Amino acid sequence: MKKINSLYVTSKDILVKERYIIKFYNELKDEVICFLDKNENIKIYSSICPHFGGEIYYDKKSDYLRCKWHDWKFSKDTGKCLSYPIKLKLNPYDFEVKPNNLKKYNVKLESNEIYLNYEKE
Amino acid sequence: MKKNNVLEVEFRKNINCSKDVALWNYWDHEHLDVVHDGYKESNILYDNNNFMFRVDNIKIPFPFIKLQTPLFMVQHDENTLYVYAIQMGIISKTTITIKSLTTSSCQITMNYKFYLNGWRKILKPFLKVMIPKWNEKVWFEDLPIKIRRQKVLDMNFRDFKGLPEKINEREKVKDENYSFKLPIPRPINSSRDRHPLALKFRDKIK
Repeated sequence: MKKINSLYVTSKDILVKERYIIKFYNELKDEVICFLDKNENIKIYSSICPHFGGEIYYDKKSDYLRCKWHDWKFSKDTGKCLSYPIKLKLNPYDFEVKPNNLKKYNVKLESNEIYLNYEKE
Repeated sequence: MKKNNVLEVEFRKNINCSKDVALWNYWDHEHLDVVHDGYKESNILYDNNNFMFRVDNIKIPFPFIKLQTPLFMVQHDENTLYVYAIQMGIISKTTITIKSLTTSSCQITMNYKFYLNGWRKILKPFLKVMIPKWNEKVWFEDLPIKIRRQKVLDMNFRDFKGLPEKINEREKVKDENYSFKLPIPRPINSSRDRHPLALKFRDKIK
């Protein structure tokens, strides 16, 4: 049976203020972006651009995820590359908002703490 | 052609990335107008496995002056690349020499030569002041890119794929280093390939 682990990401208050945060987790050996979109939905993806490894950020104005190196655009809903018709997407992460156990994608913000869930190998 | 019409300036810096990562950064033309303030537009007209001809629209540090500048770049050997450009009628030659120090560090020597003939001689004092400032600015704009690129490659990152799916595979494979090859792959209809005179012949990225 696979074990699910949780990692603390951030709080609602910080996300409302900063709009997105980027963190590296040694447990995942990945850098992730947790963001709050215009509709107040939370999402978490890998923030390593699959093109050449640039840093992904959330651009509130355009409501897209973008790469700081080459300005490639990615869908905030699916992580798919929107700049070019190629099969590239950002790796999504499962998460939950505690103490609200209703989870994961597209959950409306009602509580404070956001945790990323991953399967330990 | 007088030798004393040449203004020469040289900078040498060490950095924690491999020689191939440093070279990749010089040949990654897609980042220019995103990362560097001075570049407004950059169009590749032709490139292959050791050279490239590009036309840039750049903003120079005079107020309100934008220039279109042709630029020829060649990977002369595995450690040396030359860049020839013409700005305001001034021909420049940049020699970049990259010496590998360890598998994840190198020394970069940047040598700039400007041929200042005729009226252009009056620009010499100005260029002497501006070139070190410009070099410093560009260096610090590129620095985080080179460092991060080295870090992701050390996590077994693959271009146009990303990190391995399995967490335990996200670490450097022993004795396997990133190998730099030209041309750096670009997607079909890349933002660099939209000039009407551009010749497109690269492999399609799927």
